[in-house]
Amino acid sequence: MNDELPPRATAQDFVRPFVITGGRTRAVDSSLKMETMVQTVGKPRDDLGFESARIVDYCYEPISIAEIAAELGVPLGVAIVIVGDLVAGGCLETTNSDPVEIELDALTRMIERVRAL
Amino acid sequence: MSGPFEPAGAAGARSATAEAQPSSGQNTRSARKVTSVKLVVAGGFGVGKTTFVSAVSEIPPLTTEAAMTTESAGVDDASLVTGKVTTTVAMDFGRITVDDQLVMYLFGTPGQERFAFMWDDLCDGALGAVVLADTRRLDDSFVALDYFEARNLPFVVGVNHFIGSYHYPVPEVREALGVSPDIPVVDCDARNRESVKVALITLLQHVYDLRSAALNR
Repeated sequence: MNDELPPRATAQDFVRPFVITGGRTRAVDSSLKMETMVQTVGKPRDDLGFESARIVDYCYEPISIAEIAAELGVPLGVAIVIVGDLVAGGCLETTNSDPVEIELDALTRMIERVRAL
Repeated sequence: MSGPFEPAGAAGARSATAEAQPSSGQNTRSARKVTSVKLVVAGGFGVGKTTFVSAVSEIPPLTTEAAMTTESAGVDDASLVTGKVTTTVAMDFGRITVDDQLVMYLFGTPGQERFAFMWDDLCDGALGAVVLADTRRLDDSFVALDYFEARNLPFVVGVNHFIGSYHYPVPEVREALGVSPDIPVVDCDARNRESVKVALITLLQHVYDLRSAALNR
């Protein structure tokens, strides 16, 4: 159909981002968002793939999925899918925050914190 | 590798401080509940969103890319998306650790209006937003104002003054933007930390007031 050769691959696009996720663009857990906090739980595992192992290493302290994506240099959607797998596999736990549940006390703490910056 | 969580004070520079701490928490593998709060910094292209974020963030602003596919671009409005969308948009964000239970994230919206379709992901779950307005190009902020008004997301307007631009008084800017009287409008120099702090506190106070009013209703 198309006689033109595909553009020559560069180092950057050699591995397309969603190859890491096996082509999946949606996580098993649809509640995962960029600001979802993630933390490694359970025993260390040695059967994880490269990206998964890096995430598990990175999340011993609670951190957001957005930071995981930035650290790994992968798009947000890729990080969400891998984190979803790791949550399902019992390697990670997540905390989702609903802004409705942010109480006045938390808002006061935020205001005090920003004031002290 | 990582030490215990460092709350406020250590300015949280994660990579810098983490290794230096004794790792007393290493044996515990149960999750500690840390809640995150997402705030959005919006406004037209080049209005100073990333500068705003970096003025108060405890880490240098990070960039995350959202690879846009037709699937994630919104199911209701397929007309906006013809064929396969392969756009990648970059979002800058920063972090302010409040204490050992609470972390604030500030996300800058992708500047160009044509990326407004991905604001749903960005604003879903957000506590509130700061709309940065440039007095030379006020209409650039209309997209953000309309969006947050339609979504009922609490927001405040920060009027960013650029060198050489006429300093319009806040009431005039308010009128020009057509925001309702209950929306706070403040002057905001994104390069000045104190000024950014004022804008951020104004937003948090605004959310606080809305919440407490709702509780007393």
